[in-house]
Amino acid sequence: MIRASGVAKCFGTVRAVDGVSLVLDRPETVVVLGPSGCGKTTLLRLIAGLEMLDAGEIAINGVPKSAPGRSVEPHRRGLGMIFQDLALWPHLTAFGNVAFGLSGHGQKRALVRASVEEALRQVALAGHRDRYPHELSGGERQRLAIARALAGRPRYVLMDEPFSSLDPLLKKQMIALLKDLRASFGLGVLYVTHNLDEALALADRIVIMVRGRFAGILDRGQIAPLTQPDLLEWYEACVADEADC
Amino acid sequence: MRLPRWAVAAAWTAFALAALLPLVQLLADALWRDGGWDLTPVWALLLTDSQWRLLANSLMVAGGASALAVGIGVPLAFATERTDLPGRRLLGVLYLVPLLIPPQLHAIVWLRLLAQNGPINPFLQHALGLEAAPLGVFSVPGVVFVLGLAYFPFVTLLTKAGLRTVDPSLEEAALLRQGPLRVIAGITLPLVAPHILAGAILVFVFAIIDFGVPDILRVRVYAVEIFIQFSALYDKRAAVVLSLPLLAATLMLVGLQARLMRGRAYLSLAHGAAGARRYPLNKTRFLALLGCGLVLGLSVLVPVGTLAFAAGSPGAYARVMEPALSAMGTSLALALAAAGVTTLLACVIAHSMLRSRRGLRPALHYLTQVPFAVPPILLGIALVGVWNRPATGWLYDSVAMIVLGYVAHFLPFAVRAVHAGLQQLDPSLEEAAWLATSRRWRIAGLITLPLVRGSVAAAFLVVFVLAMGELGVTLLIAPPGVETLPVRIYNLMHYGAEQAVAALSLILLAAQLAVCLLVLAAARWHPGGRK
Repeated sequence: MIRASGVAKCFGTVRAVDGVSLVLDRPETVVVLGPSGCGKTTLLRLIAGLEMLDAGEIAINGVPKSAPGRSVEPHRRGLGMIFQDLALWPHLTAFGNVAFGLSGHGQKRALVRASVEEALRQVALAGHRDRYPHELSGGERQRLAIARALAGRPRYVLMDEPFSSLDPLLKKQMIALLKDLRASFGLGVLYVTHNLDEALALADRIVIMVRGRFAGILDRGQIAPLTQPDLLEWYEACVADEADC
Repeated sequence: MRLPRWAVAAAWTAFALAALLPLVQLLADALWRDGGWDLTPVWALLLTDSQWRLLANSLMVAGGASALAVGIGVPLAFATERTDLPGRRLLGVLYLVPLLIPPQLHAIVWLRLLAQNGPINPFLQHALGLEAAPLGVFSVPGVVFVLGLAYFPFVTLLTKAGLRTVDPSLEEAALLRQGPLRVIAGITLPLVAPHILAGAILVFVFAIIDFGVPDILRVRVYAVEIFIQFSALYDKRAAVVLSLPLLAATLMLVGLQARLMRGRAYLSLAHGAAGARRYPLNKTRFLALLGCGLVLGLSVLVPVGTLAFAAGSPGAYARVMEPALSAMGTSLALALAAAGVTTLLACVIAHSMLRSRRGLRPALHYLTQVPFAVPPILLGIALVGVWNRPATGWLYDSVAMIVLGYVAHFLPFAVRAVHAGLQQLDPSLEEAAWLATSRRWRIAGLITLPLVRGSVAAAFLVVFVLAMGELGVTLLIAPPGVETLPVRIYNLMHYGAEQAVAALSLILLAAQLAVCLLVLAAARWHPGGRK
């Protein structure tokens, strides 16, 4: 379980995240919605250990990982992450992109190779192992980013608007793939987006973030009957309420 | 938007006349005889033992200097760009100071320090109980050491520019799985490898064409041999033919370097990429600081300190300055004029290259880089061959000839700097202005130039600094009665006037520093006081 308690982060005088508390269990997908600049990405980066927090605490599986002035290094948190721009390493092949995170942990080479092959097979990229990111199509790159994030079997995956640049058809395919993988591995997914359709398709819970704070939460029961216009109405109401505060 | 055709044509014509015509002349001098091409003397020269020795020496000097520069420059770039090293901002500026010291001055300093009766060898002999002096500077390793120390900032500069262009998310994605050392080795270093390799080639070419350092340290390399053939033996044809293997090698390397850096930034005047990750050094902080201090100590403090010590009392500066005032004024005027003209030409040439047909761009870019491959001594010989005629005597006998030589020699650097800046500029910014006015110079002056002023300032500074310390071309083409400060220092050194050499060297350094600070301040100044 990822537990964030009263987490806060300032950049200069700007409060990017302002006392946010969140629990993410497995297998569950929590979608964080919110307008641009509301602190969604910063929250993700704080959980990943890519930023130091100013207040609060983050624990993963009961072990404290971040507190003011103290932070466990990102690679010791056992998390996978998919970045908005995917951040695929251009000088490494598809195989190299997946293998980089697995090698050097005392595992035998054959075992690493088998894990990489398995990860690529799961996203239907087994035949593209020797291709570089620029030699892959948009959808293949997306699948490679997923394979890289899931290689090594992390229990939780953080996703920062990963499908924002895809066409609707590809986006639908990716969401289906993600759902499959989530079910297979029993993953906990924290998914940041401002796209309402993605939120409805993936979420077990939806939280809306405005000006660094959570302004509303929907649970599974509340999400099930919602249509996109309903969610938009709720979204607008939450943003307006927070603006009035 | 395209610049007016007459301006583009004028800039390319000036480039062709200054830099390419002398090369054609060189080839004709070497290989044209009795109305036809004659390759016999080339084969005869190429097969001699002395040619092979020369080639081996030159390659060892350039390869060694390049390896040393990478060994020093890359860790320094990482330490100042990617760690929490204390004083990294200051170190990030100080590392450029060795470039302000002409390589021949580095040689003079180490010649003094490592002399048989200098301060270091007798101490080591006594401490280690040795009969002979353990360190000798009159050797290939000596030249490698001096050139490596003089040129490592080029590698640091390019590596830092590369590090600033690395997308932080690429490193962050790796940090989720691996520790900092593996991320640097597996992700960051390969991503900046083209910059590092380009820096290494830059140093290699600079070292292989350098004349001053091997001449002072008495190591026979191509540049020295060419000078001897031309100046001492008056055999122009032999000098040119001798240089052909060197020219072929440098032309190839310059082409490779231009290809590696296509579309990449050569330098950045910014303070660092937003969001770039700095790794904590923790316990190794002291060690890293010591390493950086040692490098800057050897490349800045030791030369400046040694020169200051050799110059003696403050009165010495006034004494040597009086007779050197004219040389100082000439150097400053020539370097400023060359920097101004070269930067202007570079702006027009780089802009026209970027607006030319896509297929033509690599060839044009390579063409602008060709003069860099020509050793200064050879360029001097070529310029003499082209312009020393009755019809062009008015130019050949004036100081404008030296400016022409500097433009020919340093235009590649200016074009690279401006071209890199213009490449980052979105063409739609100019197109938006074109909708408002048809006056192209107004668009260039009010939109384009302010947006690339950092690159333009960098081009101006690079040419100014290189021109202030230039020796090889100046020695051959300076008209009678005209003397620059480096030439005066070079002559005084041969007369054994050590105190005057040291004092004038420091004055040269101070003048360069002052102009550089002024230009940097001007580049960062915004009308209306906005930063």
